[in-house]
Amino acid sequence: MATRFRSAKWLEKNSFAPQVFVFRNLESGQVIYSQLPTFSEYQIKLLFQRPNWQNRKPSTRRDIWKIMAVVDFKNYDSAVVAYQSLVRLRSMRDLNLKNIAMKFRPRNQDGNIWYSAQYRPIYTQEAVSDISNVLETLKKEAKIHWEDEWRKGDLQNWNSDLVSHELLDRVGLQTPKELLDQLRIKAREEFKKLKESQSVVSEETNEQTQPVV
Amino acid sequence: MTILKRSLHTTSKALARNRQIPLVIKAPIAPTANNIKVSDDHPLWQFFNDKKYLRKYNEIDTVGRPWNIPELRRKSFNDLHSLWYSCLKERNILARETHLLTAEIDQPDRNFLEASDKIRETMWKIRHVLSERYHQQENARLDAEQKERLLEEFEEFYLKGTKEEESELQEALKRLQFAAFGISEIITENTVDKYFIQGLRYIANLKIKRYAPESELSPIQDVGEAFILFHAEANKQDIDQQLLTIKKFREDGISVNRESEIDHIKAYIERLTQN
Repeated sequence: MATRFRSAKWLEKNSFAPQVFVFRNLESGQVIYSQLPTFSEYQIKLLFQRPNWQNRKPSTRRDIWKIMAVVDFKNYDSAVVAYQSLVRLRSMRDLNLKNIAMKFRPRNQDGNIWYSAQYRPIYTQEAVSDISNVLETLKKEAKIHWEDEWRKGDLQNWNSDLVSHELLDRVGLQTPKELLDQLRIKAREEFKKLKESQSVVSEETNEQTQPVV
Repeated sequence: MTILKRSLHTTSKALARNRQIPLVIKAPIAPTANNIKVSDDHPLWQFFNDKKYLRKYNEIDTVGRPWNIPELRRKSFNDLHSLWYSCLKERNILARETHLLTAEIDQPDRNFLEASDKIRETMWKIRHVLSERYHQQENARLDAEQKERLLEEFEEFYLKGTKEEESELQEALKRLQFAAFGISEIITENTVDKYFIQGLRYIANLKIKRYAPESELSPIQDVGEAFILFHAEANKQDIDQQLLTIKKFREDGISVNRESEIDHIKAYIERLTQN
């Protein structure tokens, strides 16, 4: 399913929720964004366009990719735009604005990106920054479900008017497929409620604006 | 020169769709432990001293010494038990700190290791003292079994003795009562304790078995009665006479309370020495 770009219409039609999924690689610390609760070679090709020895193209091994965050949006368009912006930011970091991105990356004694074994913690930190940046720039309300409390960093980095944080069920994380499915159902229900309430409000406003005959 | 402007609505709409939102790269957001709230009674705090990540040298014990064995011998089991766990907790804290320092400076820190070694010494000494106590208890149990066997053997020897061996038997009994129960021949030298009472009962029953085996008063349990028989001469006549006295006591309901038997015997002995 997650083998190509999915439009807002397609997501709604196929019972997906307005969400963006963030997976992290346990071995390398690299991050994948996905529109669906799963990922494939498509996301890896898209998000690792210029791999090198410090940022290798990761494999699709299921066991080393864990869910890091799930971002719930108010509508499908927001989710799609946010996803596209995240992908764009990644390409900016890797391609055209690599110089700026490298300024923020801590170096080791040899001048390379700091690492321990194959793990480079900066990639996850960049992803968190990008999510915050996208939400702030797009001015979209979102609810982020984090895998743990500490990943989101200092709360000063987040606009509290737009973003609310929640924690994923720690026991549920052991069965991520089921957990993500439950999140999808919950997000879809919330979206439906919101849509209904918005339609009621618009009807009321229409009635009020109609001239009395 | 005129500038031609595009005015086709469809084209402008199509261009608007592809108009990208301006994005800039921002600094990465590092995770922080400040978001995590840990309750004060979290079990893992036991691996920290006063919730400190790493103590300084002046905060760890660099001048003290381990407990020595004579000091530990004076402590009760509960004291040793709590001391053991205090030591264990402190060693766990030190082990955690040593691990951190080892990762930091590529070798274990001497001060932390020495502090840990001192505690380790206390801990093996606690184990040593406890094992000493265990062996003492085991030995005491074995002694008690041996004593029981010795008393059974002596009883057999005493009851089978002939009239010609009477004086030898009495000498042997005196030696046994001193060896097994600490009862001295000189009555004033004795300390009345539970072993003394046990000895009185054993000797009283032994005398009945030898000199009045048909007596219905056997076995003697009351310590007052046992003292009368213990004090009696070792011959049939005197024993029979004392048995009559005991019978009379029983008829009158005179007996010694089990809880106060040591005090009673002390009083008897005092009265005897005064007379």
